[in-house]
Order: sequence, then structure tokens, then C-alpha cells
Amino acid sequence: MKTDTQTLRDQILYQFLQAGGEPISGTKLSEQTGVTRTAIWKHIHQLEEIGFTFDSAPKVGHRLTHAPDVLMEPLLPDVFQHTGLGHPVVFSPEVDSTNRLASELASQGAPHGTLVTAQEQTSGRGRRGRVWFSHPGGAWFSLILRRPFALSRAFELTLLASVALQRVISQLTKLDVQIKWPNDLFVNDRKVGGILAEIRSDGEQVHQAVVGIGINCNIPIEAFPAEVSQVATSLLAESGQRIDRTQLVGRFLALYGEMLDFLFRGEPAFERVHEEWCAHSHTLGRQVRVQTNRDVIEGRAVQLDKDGTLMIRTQNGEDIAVHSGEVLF
Amino acid sequence: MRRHLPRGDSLLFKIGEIRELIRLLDETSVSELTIVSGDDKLCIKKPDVSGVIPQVQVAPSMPVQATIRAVSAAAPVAEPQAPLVQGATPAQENDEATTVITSPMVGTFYRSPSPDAPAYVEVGSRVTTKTIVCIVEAMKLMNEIEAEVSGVVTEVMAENGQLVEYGQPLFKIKRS
Repeated sequence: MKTDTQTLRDQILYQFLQAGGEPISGTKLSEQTGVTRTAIWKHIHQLEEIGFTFDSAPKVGHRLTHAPDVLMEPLLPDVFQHTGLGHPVVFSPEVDSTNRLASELASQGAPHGTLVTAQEQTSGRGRRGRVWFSHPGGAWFSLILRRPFALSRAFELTLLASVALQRVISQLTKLDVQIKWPNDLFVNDRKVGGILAEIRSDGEQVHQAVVGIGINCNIPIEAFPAEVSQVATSLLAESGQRIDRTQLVGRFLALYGEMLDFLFRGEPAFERVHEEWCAHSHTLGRQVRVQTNRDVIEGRAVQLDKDGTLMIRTQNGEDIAVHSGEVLF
Repeated sequence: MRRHLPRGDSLLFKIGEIRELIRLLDETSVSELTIVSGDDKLCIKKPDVSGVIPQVQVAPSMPVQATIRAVSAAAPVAEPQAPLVQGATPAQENDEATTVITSPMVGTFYRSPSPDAPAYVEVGSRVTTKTIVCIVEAMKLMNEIEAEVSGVVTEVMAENGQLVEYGQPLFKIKRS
């Protein structure tokens, strides 16, 4: 849930956005939000730290002169009416991990559709406790889902997200975005995004899920540590253009919400976009090495089953089904 | 025993329903149950000799939804030592107060949230229904498994990092 501070900050921002560039007096803001002018001033200062700029004139008040591209609720496209996703939005300038915070909020009763976002993650979660490099400029967000669905279909959560992100990022950047099995996003053979979901289930039904997504949007290539830049890149570095993160997240939620509705209704969901996954696959047809916990399987990735299983054909013609593992090159 | 059910809009067996059927079958002298509905067929057999573990075979003649396909793919027909579904088979010691937590899916078994974090539970740990006992991961989906019973962990039955099958025993819990 949002803290009072976050709610108030959003309220003040809404006032400025509604004013459409006209100045608002401190007195008026104070009346509309029910807090003191000192509290208002403190929040305006916080907004400035996030990247908003204001100018102020005596007796006239403050005027919003620039709104940055950040994942705050007042700036995000409203898709909640259609999808039930993206409200409330819990934004933090800095958080350890949006997935960690989302799990905590979910256990405290945060509703279905809650979106947890951050400017920067200090220890973004990767697979198995790895840290995900989460510099400012990326889109770091986690979605809380609380509609029950069959555990046997849980794998669809991340596969659907990968297809939705592939489509949205391709549309916005014109880049050739590919999906590396199971759900990493790649541009020019380097990683631009990842998805990590954490679910709670009773062995039969999933009753809570946190879908965490990290997209390297507007991160200058110089900002990547050397070892990360070997394997990762950003949309800015590849396209030469900044991507509007609020548009990215808004469009993603709209599309993902549509896909999830099929899942929640118990109808085929990933099956509907299976071909799209395959068409944009970075993995299929390639000679790959897959690190599983037992060993490394080498062969050609020949097929993605509709249950998300990757089929690897080894040199001696044997087909091995891989459910869990990491594709190496 | 063969019974034909009228075809409804869609007769899809939920895992819970199959579990219930297995349980019923286990309690009777009936050794085989086949249910056919339209194109879907569910067959549960128990071998006469060992008589302990019922086997499930689902033979769809047309594409069916994942709920059934998953059961068909995962039912350890060839490995009768593994209990089929959570709670379907009591612990071998006939200890009625023991529950075996089994893996609800194929994946990698992890005992801790990250490699350098302490294990969720150890032998002797007290758990409640909502206590997370482990993670089973498949395709970057971390499935946090809840104990579902209250009691004390008496045995950890799988190794950290091991690939586990559907229905594979993971923990023994002495209920209290």
C-alpha cells in the first residue's frame, strides 16, 4: 500500500498537472490537500529531487515547468479501468528491490493490480539471488496479481509477459527485440530486459504472484560496469533514442492485462501467442548449451512446446526437454 | 468399471478432483476406473499386486487444456515409488501424524531464497500452514511452497539444487 507521504506527493503532482503549466499558490495547494504549506513545500522539494522542475514567483505560487519520465501514478496512462492493473502505483525514488517490496506489500494485503516502481534499485533481484544491475533510467517495476489460477499454468505468467514486452518495445523503438528462452529480452545479442516471477501456491492454485520486470531503457552505455556491458545493453544505446518509460509501462499493462484475462478465465492464453513467441525467439534454431543443475546439455534448440518446455536435440539425435535452466552461448 | 458421463460444456478434471478419485479408489477394492466424456478420457488403475500406488493416465484424443496435459506429462507412471499428488499417499512408516510435502511441479528445488541465505527450514523447524519451506523454480518462476500443515520438519527429502519431479517428496512434517 502507498504510504501517506506517497499519496500526498501524488495528490500534489495531480494538482500541478491539472493546472497545465499555470501557477498554483501555496495556499490553494494547502487547502486542496489539507496539509500545511510547509508540508507542501517539502513535497515540492522531493519532486524536484525526482527530476521535476518548478519556477516560483512571490504571491503567485509555483508553476510546473518540466515533468520527467518517471513511473509515478499521475504520469502513467490509466489502463486500470480496462485491465484492473496499475492501481495503486507505489513509486520510490530508490528501493532495494521492487520484487522484495511487492512481496512484502502483497503479504500486507495490497490489492490485485498494485504496481511497485522505482527510479533505482540498490539490489534488484535476478535469478537465484543474483543482483540485477538497476541504474536510474531503466524501467524497474513489479506487478502484484491476486486472481487465482491453476498452478499447472503458472509458467504462462512470464512467457506472456515476454511476448507483451517484445511487442511493446518493438513498437516503441523499431528495434528487433528477441526473446531468449524462457523470457529474457535481447537486442543485437545482448540482454535489455528480464522477468522474474515469484508465486505463492497451495500445490494446486496460485493465489498470489509478483511479476518483476526490469528493462534497460535510457541507460547510457558508459554507465554499465564493464562485465555487465559484455552481456547487456540498453534501448537507448541500441536505438540512439530515449524511450518514454510511462508509455512503455502503460502499453505493457494494457496488453499483459488482456492476455492475463484469458489465464484467469481458465482459457488458453500462451497458446494464443505461442507462434509470436517462436517468431521472435532468439533461441530456436540455434546451437545452445543449457546449464541445468545436473549438467550442461548441448544441442540445437528445436522447439518450444506450448507448456514452455524447450526441446534440445543433441548431436546423437536425442531430444531432451528442458524445464529449468539457463541458456549459455 | 466403466462409466460414461454426459458431455458437459467442458469436462475437465481439476487436480483436486483427480486426487479425490484416487483417494476413493484407494479406499475400495475397485482396481480400475475409466471416465470418458466426449474426447476426454481419464483412466485410474491400481496394480493388483502392490496395490498401493494408483496410476493415472489421461488419454485425450484432441488438444485439451493444460490442466489435464500437465497431469498426463507429470504422472510418474513408470516410477511407482513416488507418491502421485500432495497428500495422496501417507508416509511409508504408517505414521498417521506425518505429512509428506511433495513437489507440485517439475523444477529445481531450492532450500533458501538465495544461495547465501539460510535455509527456509531445517529438521526440527516448526512450521505453520503458511510457512514457506522451499522454492521450486522452473523458467524463472520461483514457486514458494507453503507447508499447508502445522508441525515440525522431521526430514528433508531432496537436495538443494536438485531437479525434482512432479509429486516427488520434499519434506516430512510431523503434524501437531
